[in-house]
Amino acid sequence: MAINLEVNNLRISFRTNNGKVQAVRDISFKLEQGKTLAIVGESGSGKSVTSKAILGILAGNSIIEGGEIIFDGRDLLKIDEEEMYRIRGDKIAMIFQDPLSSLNPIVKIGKQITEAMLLKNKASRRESRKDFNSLLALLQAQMIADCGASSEARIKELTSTFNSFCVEANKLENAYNHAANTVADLLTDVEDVQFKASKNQKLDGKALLREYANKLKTIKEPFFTAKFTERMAAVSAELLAARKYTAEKNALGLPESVLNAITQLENLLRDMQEQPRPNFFRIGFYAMKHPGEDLTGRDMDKLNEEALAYLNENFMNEFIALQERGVAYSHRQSVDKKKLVLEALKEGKAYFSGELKSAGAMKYAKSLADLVDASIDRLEIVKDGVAYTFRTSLNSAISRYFAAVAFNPKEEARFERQTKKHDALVAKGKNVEWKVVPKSLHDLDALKNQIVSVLERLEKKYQDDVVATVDYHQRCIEIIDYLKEKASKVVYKVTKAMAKERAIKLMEEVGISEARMRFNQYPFEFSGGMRQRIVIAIALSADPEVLICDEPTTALDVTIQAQILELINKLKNERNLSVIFITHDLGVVANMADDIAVMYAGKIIEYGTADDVFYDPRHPYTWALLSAMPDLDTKEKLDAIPGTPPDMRYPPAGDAFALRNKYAMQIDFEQQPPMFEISETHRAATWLLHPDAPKVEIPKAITDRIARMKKAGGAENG
Amino acid sequence: MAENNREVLLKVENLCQYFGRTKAVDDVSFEVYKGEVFGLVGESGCGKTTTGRSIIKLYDITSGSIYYKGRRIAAGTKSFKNEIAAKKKEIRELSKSGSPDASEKIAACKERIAELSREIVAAKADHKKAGIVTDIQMIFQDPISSLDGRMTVKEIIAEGLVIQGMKDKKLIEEKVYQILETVGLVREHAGRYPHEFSGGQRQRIGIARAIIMNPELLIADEPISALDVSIQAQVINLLNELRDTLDLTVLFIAHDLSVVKYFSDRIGVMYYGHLVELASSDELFAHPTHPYTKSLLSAIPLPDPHLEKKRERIQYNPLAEHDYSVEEPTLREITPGHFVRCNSVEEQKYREEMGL
Repeated sequence: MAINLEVNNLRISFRTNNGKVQAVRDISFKLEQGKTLAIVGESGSGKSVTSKAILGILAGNSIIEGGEIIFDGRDLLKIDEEEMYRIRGDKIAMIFQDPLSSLNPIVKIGKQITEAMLLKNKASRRESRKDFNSLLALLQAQMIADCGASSEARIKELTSTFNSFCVEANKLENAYNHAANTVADLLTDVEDVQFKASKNQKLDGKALLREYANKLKTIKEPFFTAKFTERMAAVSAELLAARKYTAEKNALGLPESVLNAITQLENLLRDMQEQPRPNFFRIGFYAMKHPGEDLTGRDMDKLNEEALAYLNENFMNEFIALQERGVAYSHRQSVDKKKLVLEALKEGKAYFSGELKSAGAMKYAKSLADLVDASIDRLEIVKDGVAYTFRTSLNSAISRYFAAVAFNPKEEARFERQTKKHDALVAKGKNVEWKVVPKSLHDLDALKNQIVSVLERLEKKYQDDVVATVDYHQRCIEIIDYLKEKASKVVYKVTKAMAKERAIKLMEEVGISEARMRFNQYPFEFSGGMRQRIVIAIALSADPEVLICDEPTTALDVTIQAQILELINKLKNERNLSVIFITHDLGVVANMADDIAVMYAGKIIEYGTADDVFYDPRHPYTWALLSAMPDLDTKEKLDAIPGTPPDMRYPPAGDAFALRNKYAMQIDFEQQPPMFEISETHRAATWLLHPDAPKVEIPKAITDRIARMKKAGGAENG
Repeated sequence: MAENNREVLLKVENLCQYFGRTKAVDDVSFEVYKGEVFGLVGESGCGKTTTGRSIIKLYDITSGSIYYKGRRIAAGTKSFKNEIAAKKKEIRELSKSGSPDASEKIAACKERIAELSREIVAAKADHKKAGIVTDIQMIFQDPISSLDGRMTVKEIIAEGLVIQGMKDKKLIEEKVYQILETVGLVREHAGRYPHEFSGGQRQRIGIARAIIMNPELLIADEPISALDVSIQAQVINLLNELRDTLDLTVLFIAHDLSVVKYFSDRIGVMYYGHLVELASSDELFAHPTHPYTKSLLSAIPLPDPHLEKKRERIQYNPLAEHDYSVEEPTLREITPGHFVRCNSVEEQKYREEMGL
């Protein structure tokens, strides 16, 4: 499964008037493509801070103390605002808790939904053009480098041909798609009206017929309509003729003649929809070579095949053969350089294990990263995260080490000073209310090991790469597909009218009825659940890859909550979205979460699949969360968690939950528990999992509930 | 059922509360027995909070009556006044028109006006006789906005006593300390301000303020919705303890059905200003009858991934479910103690569904 987003050792603090609050303390997780990760914890546990860090919208007084958030081969904590601007909302979108405060009250919701589409389209066309050109140029350079100067002219000719027919083909395709979409929309409209008429609802037949006739006229794309021109004219005339009927006032349903005309229209639309689709990538080349020839009326299946043969014969075979040489050349070069990098890494490991000086280490890291950058095969379409993020990972590991070197003596001094003061006051017999904040020193050796482990990770990757065999033909196909996709984005121009249609579709998709009418309303005209749907529609309008939901249902009541959860789940499956779902209520995530991370006081204390966490919880805090809420069969007194979360200005030395934990042992107050692996997918940070720990019974409320669930047939495997 | 012999503490009769054209609460009637917890559930905007607020007269009700221990404590006179104004207008028009039977009609109108005026006077007298009812207290949803940030905890809790004319500062202080301990706070908290407390502690202050008046009826308006899960359990446990030790009757308004089920003896389900179903909590969950109740119950999230993935939510569409073109629905008793809003066709259907 492809990893979409990766958070490693993230630590975030906030500077406040009363000292530094440690909001997130060293958390790591991975988000897979198309999966939902639920982050559960009470307020102040750092779950929202984590999501805001991913989106780069932390408050001004925040300090990112370390860690990395890797998305699309980049570390989101290191990139500048300009680059973040392209990712935020576009690749990663967020749904906030309060739907009213995340909508602009004085802008109609239609405009708010289309805004992102129009903006994004402009940027995406520019970007795609840049990507397309740079990859094609790179490919051309590699081909020329391998084949020599003699074939340079031919190669340049071929690439420029490719460039122009790609764009040409996509223009044709775009127009075709637009027509196809109009037909599909019209068809759903027609079906809707037929349904309403069959239920004897009140309908304005004359207006409908006129609207349909007008819409039919707007479908003009010749590839799409070529075989239907006569029928379209006939149906159009019939629709207009059917308007001449006299209806009683307040008549229900539609008269027979009107229904007949509409059925005719429906049949026509269905036939149009079912016609074979031209393959424009092939036809584009043919059309370019044969200007003036009318292809629109031809049999599409036959034309597709002919055009393919023509394309292969006159262009593709030669192009791919050359391309393969270019790709192979690029790969060979890269392998040679990777071998050099492997040598350098060996040296580097020795260097970083030894005594380090700040300036020297930084310089060394830079030269190493330059080497790695040069060794990357840029013709690889799938970017591998390790090499691309090598520079930022190495830099952050080194700077973390030197920050700790500088910090430790200061912390020692502070601790000594404070202890002295405290002891002096106690010696004077005063009642001292404050406590000495325990020492929190960084483990320098561990940090140094982290630097080396960055090198090791790359070394392992490159060792595999050097010996791996590559299917050059496959890679050529990948490159062509990539270029095709980019080219289609270049010509895909969104107009305001198209954006409106898409917005209305999106509104219907998220379950807003009468979307066309509501398009022009203001946010205050909607109820809470509807507003949250609009926020979701806005988040989806830019087609994000990752959706972060920050307590999207907390402000809503049960039925609406269920609807919104179902909606997010449905959209996730349809669009293969990766979702991060943040909530304080474990109960709501059982339905949608694939993985669950339970957070407490800035740390992930239990991590596992939904089944792991619900059927086999291991951390006392998870137990407490599960037993604190009544379900429909609860009769006995609830196991409330006593007390409140710790003050994160003075994070406790041991397990943060120890103070509220009735299972706490002495060691819980002294030392932080490590993550114990329970199974491949399940881990928890509690000393209870240590082999020497005494056996502890899970609270009865939970064992009872799990037993009940098993009985109900829910947990066959649990 | 035994409930028939129990003492009725609060009786709401045909309560209507209109805001302009919006019928927030429309013809709601129910009884709350002494010592029970009566849960009121429904989605936001269905009028459950308005009902609660109308009972303690935060709103002047449009029509209907509210009885507390058999005394009428609130009566809707707004509808009477509107009718009087309409009749007076009619009289003016009639006298202008000079038609032959005008004088007769005018007499009828005048009689009606006199009747309505007597009703209004009676209602006012009832109000006076009822005095200030301190037996009913309310806990509000949002513990942040319902506490005055400029008052110390002591002042907030003691305010009710002071208003009631208690002057002995020592006695007040003693009572405040005692109440603080009852709700699980400590004496030292009395001098602090609300912003120094966490959400759960603030809600405890809200509860302390309500119970210091020794109420018999506590109206809890979504007391836990704004709290974290771990804190919610603390507050529910506290309310449960108080209910036993102080012998409280509670009108519990919430939208979280698991909590309502856990906490309440009887439950009323509201939908768009109407009470659609009323039954004991076990009965309601075992035999939900009204389609809206069914849809509401099917939406409860369960902490069980396998069951959750199989769960199918029942949609409720009032237009498709009910046909009220022939007969308007009323609240009818299907089985003893189990009321459903339906008309006679539906009543028959529901009875059959229950196997009667």
